[in-house]
Amino acid sequence: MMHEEYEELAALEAIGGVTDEESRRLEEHCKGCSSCRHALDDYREAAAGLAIALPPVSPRRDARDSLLIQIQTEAVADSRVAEATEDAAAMRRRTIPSWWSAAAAVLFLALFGWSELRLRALREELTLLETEKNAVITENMRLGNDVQAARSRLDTIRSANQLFRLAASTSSTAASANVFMDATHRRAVIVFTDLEQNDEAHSYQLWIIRGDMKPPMSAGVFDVDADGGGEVELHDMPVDVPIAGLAVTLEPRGGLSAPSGAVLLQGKA
Amino acid sequence: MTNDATPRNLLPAIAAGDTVAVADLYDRHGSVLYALLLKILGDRPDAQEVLQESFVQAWRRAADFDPRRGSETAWLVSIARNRAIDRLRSRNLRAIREEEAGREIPIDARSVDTDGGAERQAILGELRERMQAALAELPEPQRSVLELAYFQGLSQSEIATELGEPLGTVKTRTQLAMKKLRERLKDLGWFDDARRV
Ligand SMILES: [Zn+2]
Repeated sequence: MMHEEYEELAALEAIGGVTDEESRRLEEHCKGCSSCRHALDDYREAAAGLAIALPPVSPRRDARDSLLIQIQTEAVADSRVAEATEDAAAMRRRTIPSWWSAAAAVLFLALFGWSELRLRALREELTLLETEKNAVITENMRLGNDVQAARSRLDTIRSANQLFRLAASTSSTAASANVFMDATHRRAVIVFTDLEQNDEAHSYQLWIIRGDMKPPMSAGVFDVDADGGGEVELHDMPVDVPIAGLAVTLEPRGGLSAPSGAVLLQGKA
Repeated sequence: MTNDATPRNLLPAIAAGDTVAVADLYDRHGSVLYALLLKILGDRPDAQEVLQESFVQAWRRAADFDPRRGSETAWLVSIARNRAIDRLRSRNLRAIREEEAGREIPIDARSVDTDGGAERQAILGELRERMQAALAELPEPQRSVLELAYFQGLSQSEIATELGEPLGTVKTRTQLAMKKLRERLKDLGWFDDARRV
């Protein structure tokens, strides 16, 4: 077949007008022919234009929640399967943090919707997650202390009434964090993902950006593991400080009284 | 959740395990995909279900997305369309489709999600207008073979039967229509802009 014939095939392929065999032959040819591949890409983009040309219609509002809950649930299931196959040594490092991130994300998303209905769905999710959690506990008795801490975090997350996200200050990193703030009890849980692991000489330091224009206030230091995950739980946050947001810097081990490093993550409360 | 820092393509982040980015993906593309699914399936519960399946598939296959080969929108549209056509074929569809042909789908949600960011929505609106203009320039028989293939999932021979015309004629007409569309869209700078949303 000549290039011209492949291009014609590409035009048909884009709107589903070829047989499986023709489609395979075309893909094969396109692997080695940039001009036909380019034509095929254009035709597919143009075909998608038929969908874009339609007046858009918003799906049902609750469909978004149900999608996100399905995905979070499947993600939890996936990570449980993946972890079950890891060896016992790796388990201690990984099980709790990744379970936590997924659980935290479910709560984050569910709380985002706010309505009573969603809260009910959230509670069901919670029950499910707690069942999962119990399974993890049975499986890994040695995790005792971590689980204790996890329970306390779950409490905070459950009563969180302010949710926001910390994003990377530069686009060179995918790091982010979800913040669950329970303003009533002056406590918060912050779940970090994709931060670089810190070395022995440095600690990550969390800062409260004050709403009264005064300098940022340290909220403590934390370490990030090789997976890029980390969590911080804050208790007894100051009552008299208006919290405008949070920020993260990398500082000498133990932290400083005022930030000296570049802001790596930040977000508004 | 969308802000200035939100990347142009979300699929790489999703492939890297950011399940929360699926929410942004949904806000960006949900209404285009849902409109397509309603058009193909003509039935809200089905469209809603396939919409969800499509996003789950996108989440699972996010690593397959190659931005060099096309836009995120086109990639998602293709997933949704394939699923919808499969659904259509698995229904005992012919009777239903004939019954429903020409039926207008009532649109109760007038407001379009604007969460994708105002700038993005503006580009999308412009793309829509240019696509509609390019389609309007095609002669009616050419436009109609495209629509039969794309929205009803008919093969070239099924279209030939439907129209009572030789297969060769139908193929030539479809190819001509796609070729014209490609050229016109190229003139309109459509391909570059499509990759910006
Ligand atoms: Zn070629």
